[in-house]
Amino acid sequence: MARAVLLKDVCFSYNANQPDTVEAIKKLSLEIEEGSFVALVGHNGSGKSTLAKLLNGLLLPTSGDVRIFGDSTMDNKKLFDIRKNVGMVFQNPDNQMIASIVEDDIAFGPENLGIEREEIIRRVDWALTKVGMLEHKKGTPFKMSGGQKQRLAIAGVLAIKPKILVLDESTAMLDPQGRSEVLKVAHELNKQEGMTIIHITHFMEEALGADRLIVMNDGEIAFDDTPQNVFRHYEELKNIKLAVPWDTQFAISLAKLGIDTGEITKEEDLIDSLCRLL
Amino acid sequence: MRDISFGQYYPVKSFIHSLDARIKILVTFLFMLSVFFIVSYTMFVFMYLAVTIIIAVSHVPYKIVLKSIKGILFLLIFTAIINIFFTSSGNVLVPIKLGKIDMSITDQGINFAIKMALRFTLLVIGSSILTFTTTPTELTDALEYLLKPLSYIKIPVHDLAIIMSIALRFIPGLIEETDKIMMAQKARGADIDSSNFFKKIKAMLPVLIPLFVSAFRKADELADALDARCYNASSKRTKMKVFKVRKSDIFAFLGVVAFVVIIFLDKYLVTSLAGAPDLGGFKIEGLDILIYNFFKLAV
Amino acid sequence: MPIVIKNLSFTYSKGTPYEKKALDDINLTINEGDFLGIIGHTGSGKSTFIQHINGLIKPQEGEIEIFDIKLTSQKRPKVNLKELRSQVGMVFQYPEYQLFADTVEKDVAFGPKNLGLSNEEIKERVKEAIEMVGLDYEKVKDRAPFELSGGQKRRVAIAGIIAMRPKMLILDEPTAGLDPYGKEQILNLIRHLKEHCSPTIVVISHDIDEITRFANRIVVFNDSHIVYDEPMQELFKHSRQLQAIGLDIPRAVKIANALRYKGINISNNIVTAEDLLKNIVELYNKKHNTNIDAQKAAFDMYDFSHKWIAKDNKEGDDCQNINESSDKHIEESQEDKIDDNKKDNKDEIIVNQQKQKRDKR
Repeated sequence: MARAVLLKDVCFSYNANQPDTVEAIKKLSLEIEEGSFVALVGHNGSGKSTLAKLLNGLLLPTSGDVRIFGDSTMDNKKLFDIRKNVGMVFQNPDNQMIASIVEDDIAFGPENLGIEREEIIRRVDWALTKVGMLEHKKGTPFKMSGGQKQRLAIAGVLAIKPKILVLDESTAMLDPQGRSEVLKVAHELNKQEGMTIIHITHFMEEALGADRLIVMNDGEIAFDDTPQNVFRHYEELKNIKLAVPWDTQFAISLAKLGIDTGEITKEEDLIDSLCRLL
Repeated sequence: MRDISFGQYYPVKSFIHSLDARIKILVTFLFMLSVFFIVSYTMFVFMYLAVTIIIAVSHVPYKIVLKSIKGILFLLIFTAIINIFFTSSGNVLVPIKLGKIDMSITDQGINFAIKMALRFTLLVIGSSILTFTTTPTELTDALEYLLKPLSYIKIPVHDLAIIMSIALRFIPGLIEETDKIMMAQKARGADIDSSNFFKKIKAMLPVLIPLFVSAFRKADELADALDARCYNASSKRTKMKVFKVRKSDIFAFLGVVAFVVIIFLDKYLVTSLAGAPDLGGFKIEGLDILIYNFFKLAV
Repeated sequence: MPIVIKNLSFTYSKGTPYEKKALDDINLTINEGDFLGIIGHTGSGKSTFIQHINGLIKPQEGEIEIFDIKLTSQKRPKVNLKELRSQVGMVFQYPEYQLFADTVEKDVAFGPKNLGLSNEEIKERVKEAIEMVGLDYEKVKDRAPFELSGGQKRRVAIAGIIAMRPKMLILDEPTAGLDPYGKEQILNLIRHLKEHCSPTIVVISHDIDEITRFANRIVVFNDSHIVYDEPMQELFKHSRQLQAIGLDIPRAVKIANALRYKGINISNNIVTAEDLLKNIVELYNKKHNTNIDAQKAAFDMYDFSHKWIAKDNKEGDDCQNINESSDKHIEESQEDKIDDNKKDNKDEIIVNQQKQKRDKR
């Protein structure tokens, strides 16, 4: 597997060299393999969004190196190649659409790249199909739900055909339904298209289906393991203002009373385990 | 969520809606210019009939079109008054003198006032039909296309079009945002509905500051989103949508051209052929002369 | 009875192609002391509904009576909206976006000032409100709101409403966009406000697990109608119907239903995680002949410590741990004292003072 993302000793400070400088990323090193689904979790202000913006050159490291498929974000000539490879979806679905008609908005990215017309039309249809919004092609986003708008934002990025999709807290402003819609799309893209997904969130539950869970705290990586293994450290997670998924916590509450359900991450496991116990 | 109409666009399907936006802009432009050349009441009757039919074809309710005239009612009345009092030619009906200023009401003044009002109303109806039947996006795209020649004299037409499109995209959101903030501050007892002008200005600060903060936040996020979608990545930008002129567009275009020709014929040819009758400063022109002559003969 | 709503209907953009019915013949009575949860999809009418209660939208049809103030569809109502708004405090979604003054103190003072109170009274109320939401008055009063962390900003915004001393508080999606810890703080704050500040509270939320943490009555909006209005313990007997209209049911209910389906004799009255824990303990005791105390069952996001997962963890005061870690953090440099015991004592004093003042009046 190719190495999609490589961060080496990356530091980043806002207002660097000024009295009010804030160190957001502290000497962070990280590798992400192509085709993996990585969840990046941390509380507000843990540096996770800064990290996301370092990945496509929206921010440049104060020191260290960020490489996407071997290209450094510091290399000006490679910047657009990097942005073509790293699709990024942000938090507020309302602030990412450029045009008022769905298909025009999806076409914006490929139009910027100077792709020929027939290919753009193919890509718009493909991207909208991937997020399950093809029937809204001629519609406007004004009356859509948050989940639908965010799926359109994903489609807008997909039309660039990136190899890596970064969801920068893209579920934070959505209702539970919208959240699961977006997650479903992300998992499908990972499985069907082999796209590398970096899902940034502060909800541990959303890390459940990920191959790998990276927990950020204070600009550093606190944990980097499979979700199951990370959840075992629920005490430390709590101390960095994170909570384990509901079902895991339910099992812990039972264990505290002396009822041992075994290790639980998913609802089905909890139900099975309780069936055995009762 | 309040009344956020999307521009003025009226979302129904019709022949007028389906016309090419560039043609609609051109045609509206032509129409608006030619309105100033309408001189006879007969032509006005024709034009209003035509407009009535066009509105019917566009499936936009008359009520809504009439509403748009309401907006310029003040302007209509104002110009009518100016015309009535400050036209000195024609036969005096009511002599009024204010010192040295002659403000007498003449038949020609009333004639002018009525024609001017009829013209303004036509202008407003014409442009309303354009905005009611064309989405803002179509309008921007069409304008970008029509203004393309300007890019040869280094005017960044494409960037301007993007700016316009973003503005159109974000204005409804900002209106909604304003509404929300206003509600929130009202809930804290702010006197936004006060009829006192100065009080109102002062009460707007708690709305304007959060609104600006929000607009800047939006702009910030949007800038990131534009960058992430490779804005300015290539000097050769392509377009997904290409305009295609269809038969119906040509038909519509020729129809309006025919009207324009008739208007000009009416003003210049008919007037000069028929010869305006001498009515002491009260002027009748175009087809009106023929009708006048016809009645005169009949009497 | 503080609030009676009769035959309320409302349509947006009436008479245009954008016409949309938001409320259709709504009847509801909110009683003093209700801890009311409102759930429903986006666009189900719930936001329009609460805007009516605050007099922000005039009823098109029907009438609303709020603390003896009557709102009708009359063209020129002689209603003191200011008085109404001081009695019904409304916390909108993302309330921190409304902060506008250059200091926290001035912003919180905006509401009381609009009520035309004396300067001393305003100052007193501002201090009380800021402390009520768990912030240190002396530390934050002169700071600019935008310097604070997201969760703190939200609490300042809530303080701005509390400072008007409403008899009733409405919160629209109070935890939207916050991280789990910020959420937990706001939920605790709401419970705290119910006890010490506003006796009647209405909360709108998408997250049913959040609502069941405190509500005693739940109203379900669907398609501009109220489809259910029931005590919380009763509502989830309609689990299947709720899921049919696409609404979530609490996790505990979901699990209880699944267990019941598998033939386990689980109680019908389960709503919260605590309910489920207790019921499981009872069943477990019966089957395994053990004697575990069901009353000890607790489900708290930030209070868990057990052996089989906590391998290398020292036991200690959880609250303290949270505060320590928050102190370390750049953005949240202010102490978060909502869970602090000392704070509770302080609040008790404040509340007592408040009661005395009310009695005097």
